[in-house]
Amino acid sequence: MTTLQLTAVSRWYGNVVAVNDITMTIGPGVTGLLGPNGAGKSTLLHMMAGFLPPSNGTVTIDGEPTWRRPKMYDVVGLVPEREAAYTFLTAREFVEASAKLHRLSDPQQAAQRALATVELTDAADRKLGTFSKGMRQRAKVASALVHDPQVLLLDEPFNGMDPRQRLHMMDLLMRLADAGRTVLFSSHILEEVERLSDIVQVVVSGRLAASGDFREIRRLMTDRPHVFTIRSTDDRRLAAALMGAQHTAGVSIEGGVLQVHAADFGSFTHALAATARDHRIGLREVIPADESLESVFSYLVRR
Amino acid sequence: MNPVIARITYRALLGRRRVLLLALLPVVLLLLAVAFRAGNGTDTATLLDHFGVTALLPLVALIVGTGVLGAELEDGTAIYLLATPTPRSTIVTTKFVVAAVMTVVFTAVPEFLAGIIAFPDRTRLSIAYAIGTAVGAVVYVAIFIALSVATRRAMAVGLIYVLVWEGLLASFVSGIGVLSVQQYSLSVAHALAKAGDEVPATVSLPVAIPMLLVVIVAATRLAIDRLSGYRISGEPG
Repeated sequence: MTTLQLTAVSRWYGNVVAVNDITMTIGPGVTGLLGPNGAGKSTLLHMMAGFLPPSNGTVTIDGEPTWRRPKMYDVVGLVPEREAAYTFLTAREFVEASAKLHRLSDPQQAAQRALATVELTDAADRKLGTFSKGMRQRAKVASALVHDPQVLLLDEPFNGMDPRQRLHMMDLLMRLADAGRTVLFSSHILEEVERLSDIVQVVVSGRLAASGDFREIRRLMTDRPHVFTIRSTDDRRLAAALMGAQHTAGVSIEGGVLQVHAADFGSFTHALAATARDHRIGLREVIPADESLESVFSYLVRR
Repeated sequence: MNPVIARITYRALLGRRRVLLLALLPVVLLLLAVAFRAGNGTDTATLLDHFGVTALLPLVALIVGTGVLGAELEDGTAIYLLATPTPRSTIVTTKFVVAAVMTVVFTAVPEFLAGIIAFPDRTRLSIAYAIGTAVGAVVYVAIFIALSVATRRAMAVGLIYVLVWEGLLASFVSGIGVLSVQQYSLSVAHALAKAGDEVPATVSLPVAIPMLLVVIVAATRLAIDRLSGYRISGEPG
């Protein structure tokens, strides 16, 4: 079992703090590193992958620091975010090169196995330059998997993939996790993380905002006050009716726009429909005003 | 020396658009040689030094030296070499050998050909210049590889070194020759040429040889150290 350990890790660039005092332990299974763009996910991942030293704290794999230790790539595979590839190599040449650089005893067979794992066997002898983004991503994964690493780190692996490729990749990562591997991937998309991860680490503005089981975090996210902007056939009457409704925390009409603060997301949405029906008011539009991931995160940070 | 890295480096280098420049520059030298021959030119230094050692050699070395590793670091493909347990010294020395061989092929060979085309009866001088060029090629690429790992502006810094330091300052301040790869090349060529052949060298061979060895070792060690501590930069994301 291989464990990735971050202890009181900070990383700053000049005056900008990218990662602020993060401690986390990542073990076998799929871990999602979730956060908005610019939250510090890539910085964290680069430190785990040995491509950035922490300004403070330690990043270790099984007790050994990741920085300036090429030997750690014996147990770590990295799928970088950048799309760059040796476009003049075929997928097979690319994965075989990786196998040889890992000094595997049978690089051809290892490459063949890795290409089969990502279902690229049919396209193995095509040049990477002719690949779609999703196929290239799979070739990168095959190259990172060729030495059967204990730890697989993926930086935004679903970027640019179509839904089918996405499902395929998710399935692959889950299979690796079932086989006892430690898989960590970063994403800014809640749904990806939700579908895939056993454990979620939420990073916002360089800090660890939440950590643990996804269902628990999801509950924190949904059982919270929400703001809705509502358009109806009679905003004023609806406002008055909602005032008395359960789960309504506050109502305002400013500049002709009705805004309702709900005390709880789930029960409010049910109550709203019932209230409107009872008062014979037609609902034209119900927009959660703060549904962007960023606001969910900022909510988590405030807690 | 790692054959996998060597092969990838070689293919990447020849696949880039700069390879056209690599081919073009020696062709220009050969055309000049033909023109010299046609005009019965006798000034060997103008062709083999000014156009060969001073212009062709550093330009080709700069393109190749910054191309073998720096270009891969810049476009992100180097990560596939670095995310393996391959010792960084192996990566750097392999890149160095490939770059040195390529630069010798694109500089010393045309230098020799230009010599025998323009001055058919001065074979020894052509050989002397070619060997001097080959030695210079090895030293230049060691420096330019180190620069390309140390800074993202390796091409600019390299050009400044060649144009300002070697080109301008060295002609005014004589002591600078000790720190000029161009002078090491000329020093070797001078030592190999027949007595009476005009090779304008300002540094003596006993100074040039240890200096160029020191430069190669120091540059390579710097490149290995910088590559060992290679950081993926970019915005904190």
